[in-house]
Formats: sequence, structure tokens, C-alpha cells
Amino acid sequence: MKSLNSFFPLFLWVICFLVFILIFPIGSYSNKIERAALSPSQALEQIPAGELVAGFRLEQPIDWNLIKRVKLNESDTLCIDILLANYGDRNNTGTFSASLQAKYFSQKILLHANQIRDNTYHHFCYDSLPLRNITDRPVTFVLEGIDSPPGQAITAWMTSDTTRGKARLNNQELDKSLIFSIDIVTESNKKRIQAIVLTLLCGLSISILFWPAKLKSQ
Amino acid sequence: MPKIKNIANDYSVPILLISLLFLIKALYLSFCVTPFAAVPDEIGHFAYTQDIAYGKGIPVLSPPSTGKSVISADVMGYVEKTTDSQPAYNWIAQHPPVYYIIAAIPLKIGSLITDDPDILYRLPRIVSALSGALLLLVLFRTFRVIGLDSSRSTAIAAAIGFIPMVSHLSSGTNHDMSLFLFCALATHFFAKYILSKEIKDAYQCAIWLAIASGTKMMTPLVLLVPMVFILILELPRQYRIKHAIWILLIAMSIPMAWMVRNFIYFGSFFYTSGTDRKPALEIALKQSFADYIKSQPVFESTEHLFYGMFGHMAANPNRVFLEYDVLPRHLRFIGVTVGGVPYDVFSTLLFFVACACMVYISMLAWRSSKEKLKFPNSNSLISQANSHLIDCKYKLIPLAAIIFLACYAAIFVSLTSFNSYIFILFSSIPISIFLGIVALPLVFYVTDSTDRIALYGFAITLFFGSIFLYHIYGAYLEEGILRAAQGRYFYPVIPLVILSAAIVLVRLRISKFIIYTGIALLACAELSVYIEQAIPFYLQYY
Repeated sequence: MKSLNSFFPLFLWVICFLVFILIFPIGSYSNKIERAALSPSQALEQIPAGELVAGFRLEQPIDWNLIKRVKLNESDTLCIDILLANYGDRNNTGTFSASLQAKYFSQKILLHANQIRDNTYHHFCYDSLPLRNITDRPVTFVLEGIDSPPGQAITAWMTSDTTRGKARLNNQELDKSLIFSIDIVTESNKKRIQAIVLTLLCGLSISILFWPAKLKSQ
Repeated sequence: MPKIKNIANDYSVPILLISLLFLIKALYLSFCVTPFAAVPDEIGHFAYTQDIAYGKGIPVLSPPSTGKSVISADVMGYVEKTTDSQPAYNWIAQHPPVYYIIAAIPLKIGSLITDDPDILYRLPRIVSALSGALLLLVLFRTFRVIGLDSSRSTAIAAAIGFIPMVSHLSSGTNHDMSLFLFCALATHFFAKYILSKEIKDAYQCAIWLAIASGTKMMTPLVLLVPMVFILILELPRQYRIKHAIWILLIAMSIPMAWMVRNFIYFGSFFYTSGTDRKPALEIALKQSFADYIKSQPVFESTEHLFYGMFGHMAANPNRVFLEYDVLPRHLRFIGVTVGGVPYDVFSTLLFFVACACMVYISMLAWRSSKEKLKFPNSNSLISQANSHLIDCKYKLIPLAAIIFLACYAAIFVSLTSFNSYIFILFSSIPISIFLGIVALPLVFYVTDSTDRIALYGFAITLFFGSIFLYHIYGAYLEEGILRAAQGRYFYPVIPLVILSAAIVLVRLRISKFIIYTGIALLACAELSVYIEQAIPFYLQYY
């Protein structure tokens, strides 16, 4: 019993360490690496795009020339951060979609309006669209309202800085652009392996410290 | 050769295992994680090592146009990822060669086996990794010397390996880790001498101080001067002058040789520039020291950079100038300082240790004021001063005055440098100033040798910090920006700082469980730094 008690600190450490690893932010042990490809656009004369209710469709072209400044791999995918708003933390309902559309390929992400925080960038990742399928082809980011009623829908912020291309609202070109940034997601086992090796080394080092003193001296 | 049985007697199994795990971690980081040139000044350190390994000898610091101290075209080409790169000026040639001679050994051996730069350029990193692992063992032995038990010694020695900057530097070609090790060895023999009074320990301390001063210009000298001074204070009357001269000569041998070389080549003992570069400001700033620490984040930057800083230097279409270089390079520099929760954990632990030190020094001051006359335990200068002071009727007056001055200095720094929130996080710095000022007179009141070592640690840290501050303040007045506030410049004095902290833990009988919990928090913080900040940073840019 006494020798079992001497293992208590070690046991406590192992439990705490496992909890610590589990509360790491999601992605710490994933094989995905996100790299900034395009910084957020400049917010000039910022106005809301209108409520994302049924029938609302806003298209934002993506300029490959701006993204190609960073090193791209064929298997990389894109994440787009869009500045959205919910009208001062209003209680919104219904759904909307954010899709990335190329000529032959597209991916649509459906989201409930109440998941959007006010004046915050929302991260949309298109992991089913590897760059080999969409690169060098006209690509458009599309925001569509689905079933949010008026007065209970979210919106997106727009800027008069149109250097990244003019947005189209219900097929009409605007002198505005969405406020967005783009990240490139690369899959690499290197990151996961490095994280696991360092975790093991850290765990082992402290476990040696907490190993019962009597057994250490044997 | 030390026998295996002796190693087993001198070191506990846990510290041997922890040191081995640190070596594995540092080597893994060196060869699999840390990109080439990610460690501060790595290209310069590597080029110096390359010069020695390939028989070019010690480079002579000189203007870029003369080409005597250069980073070779192959190294620049490797970083710039081109085949037509030009050599660059190597500012690292200002440093003496001890580390580079050692680092050249794996490079020379490796060059006989392979010519793959991905392997060759990382080979000198083995020396840094080994230095880091040996550092833990030396610290452990030093804590054992002052009477700390094996478990606590293991934990405190391991703590240093969980500081991200230490593991980061252990994974790169640079002289900082070897310097850290040599200064830890000097500190070990320094403590041993003060406790055992065996003269061979004083000489060994002097030898390691000389080797440390032969590793890097300037900072080891700032440790050497007060350490040798204290050794002389602690020497017995018999043969005092003879030993003092020999200790001084041995300690100064390598730095003097380097200074003479500098004088012969450049006409200046402390030559570090190699160019006739003028300061950035035509007219130097006229800012008081108080305004300087108020307007610049001096203490925050130093503590932050001590905990962790990761760099990035890689090929880029942009054209930038390297330090004093003649040509623009296709390179990009990005540095990230470790922040967030891990850093807060480190600062909080540092704050608790500083508080414990303050409690300890207050108790020591109180006890010293009550202490009655005893026969001095040696006939050293310090013991003689001690026996005179203890008997003195007015002994409390200077001590009280110094404590008042120390409080004033600590409060002044706190109020001048930090706003309300940061004040708590960085209060370990004003506390360390308080400790240093109080320790200066208190060493003459305290009869116990172990306590005196702790006080020497506080006092030398204050001396070292003051020189550091004076240096970067001068640089700020000339350049107009905060420069050289690198926490790693404190490495020579850190073994002594940790030793003082260890003595405090012994004296205050801090429980093993508290120490272990602190070390576990440090370890988790370091892991979090690598997984959440360093690795994604590297993979994002390389």
C-alpha cells in the first residue's frame, strides 16, 4: 500500500499532463499548417452588404495573382476569412451558405446565422478543393442567404477598396468588395510528428522527476 | 577518464536520464525542427566554425571589402537559395575562438564523410546540444555542493532545460550554450572553494573563467571581474598575494591574449565593429536614464527575449542589407517573441522565486543584526571584516541605510518602468535590484559560507545587470532605438542566480512537491511554446 501511495504524485502528473494535452487548441497535433497568403483588405468607407435572407447572393472574385506570391503546392487548400456582422448581437435565425466555386469544382459550407459573432472574421475552410483543381481558373467566393427571415439575418461588411476585385450583388457589379483574407492550408505529417516527439520527451522528463524516490535509488 | 562507477556516485539516475532526454530533444530540434539560420547570428557562427574546420584559421574582423572575415558564398547561397550568391561580412569574427575550435570538430569529421549541406551545416549544432545536456549535470553537482538533496537538485537543474530559449539555442550553431556551460563550471568551483577553502577549486574556477572569456567577447568579463575579486576576498592570509596574482593571471590569460591580438591588428583592446559605421543618430539623444526606462520597454524586452525568441531568415524576393554588408541580399527576417500563457507562467514562477529570495534576505539581515561575536572560521579578508563588523556598536546603521536605499531603488524602477498591470508580472526585476543592493553590505555581516554564496549571487547579478543596462542605454542614446536587450546575454551569470535561488529553497525548506509542480508547469509551458508557436512558425516560412 505504501509503495502504491508513493506512485500517487506520478499518477497525478500523468493525469494532469493528459488533461493538458487534451485542452491544447484543436489543430495543435493535426497535420495541417496554415500560412497567410493574403492579409485582410483595407476597410474604407465600410458598409454592410445587406441581410443574407433568402434570395441574397453576393459574389467576390478571387485574384490568383495576389495569392501566388506565396509558395503553393498542388494539394494545398484555401481558407477564407470574411468580416461578418450580426447587427449588434441580434438574435438571428435560419441558415446561409459560403461557397467557393471554380469552373468544374465547388464546395459549399452551410452555417446557422446564430453562429456568427458581431464584427468578427469568420474562417471558412475548403478542404475538398485542392489547388490542383481550381488554381489558374476563375474562382469566386459566394455568400447566399437560404432561409433567414428579414430582421433575423446576418450581414457581411464591404469596403470601397476594390483592388482585389469588385463584388457582385444579385448579378450586379458593385463599387465595393468584401473584406477578407486568405490562408493556404498545407498538409504535412512533419508537424504532427514533431509535436508528438516533443510531447513524449516532455512527458518522460517530468515523469522521471515524479518517479518514487525509493525506486529511483534502487 | 571518469569511471562509470564515479559517475553513478556523483550523479543520480534521474538527472542522468533527464540530461540524456534533453540531449535527445536538442539533437532532434537541431536536425529535424530548427531550420538553418533560425538561431540568432547562426550564419556568422557557422562561417567562423567553417573557417577553422577547413584550415583557414581564425578570421580577422575587417571591413566587408577586404574579405578577411566573411560568410562564404556557399553559406549565403544556401540561405538565399541561389547559386550566384556573394560572400557576406562576418561580424561574429569579433569573438575569441574557443567555442569555434570545439564546434569545428564535428564539422571537420562530417566533411570527410558527406558533402550534403543539409547535414554538414547542422553538424556544429551537436556541440550546443551537448553543452546544454552537460549544463544540467554541472548545475546538479553545484546544487549538491551547497547541500541541496538529490531530488530537489535534479528538479532545479532540469528547470533550465525547460526554458524555450535554452532549448532553442541548444539546437543551433552559436556560442551561448557553451558559454553557459563554462560559466556554470566556474560557478561550481567558485561555490566549492568558498565552502571547502581548497585552493585547487579557486584555480579551477579561474581556469573556467578564462575559458568562458575565450568563448565570447565582453559578457564573461563582467562575470570574471567580480568573481575573481570575491575569490581574493575569500583567500586565506597565508600566500594570499601569491595566490591572488596567479588566480588573476590564469583568469585573464585567454581574454588578455585576445585583447593583445586585437591591439596588434586594430590598435584597440576591445575592438568589436570591423567597420567605420557611424551611429544612426548624428546628434546623440539627451535623455535621462529615468526617461529611458520610462519610454522604452527595457526590462520587459529583456525578460521576454530571455524566455524565448524564434527567428526566421530565408530567401525572399525583397532585398535587404545584412549587418554592415556591402550588397543587398534576397533575404527576409522575421522574429517572433514567445508570448501568451507560457510566458505568463514563467513570469509568475520567477515572481514567486523572487519573493522567496526577498523573505530569505530579510531573515538573513534580521539574524545578522542579532548575531554575537564568534571566532572567525577563516583568516580571509571577508572573515576579518565580518568579525570586526559583528563587534561594532553601530553595525545596524549602515545596514538600515542600505535597506532603505534598496527599497527606494526598487520602488523607483517599479514606478518608472511599469504600469499597473505589468507591475505585477515584472516585479521580479525590481525585487532583484533590491536583493543585489542589500546583498552588497550583508556579505560582510554573514558568517555562514553558504549564505554568503547566495549573497554573492545577488550582488554579482546586480553588477552584471547594471553594466548591461549602462551598455544598452548608451546604445539607445546613439542609435535612437532599443538595441541589444537580449536576455541571453545574462547566461554567464545565470548559474550563480540559480545557485542563489537553490540556497533560498534550502533555507526556507520549500517543499519538494511545490518545486516539482513549478518545474512541471515550466515543462508544459515550453512544450506549448514549441507546438503552438515555434513549429507552426517554422513550417509557415520554411
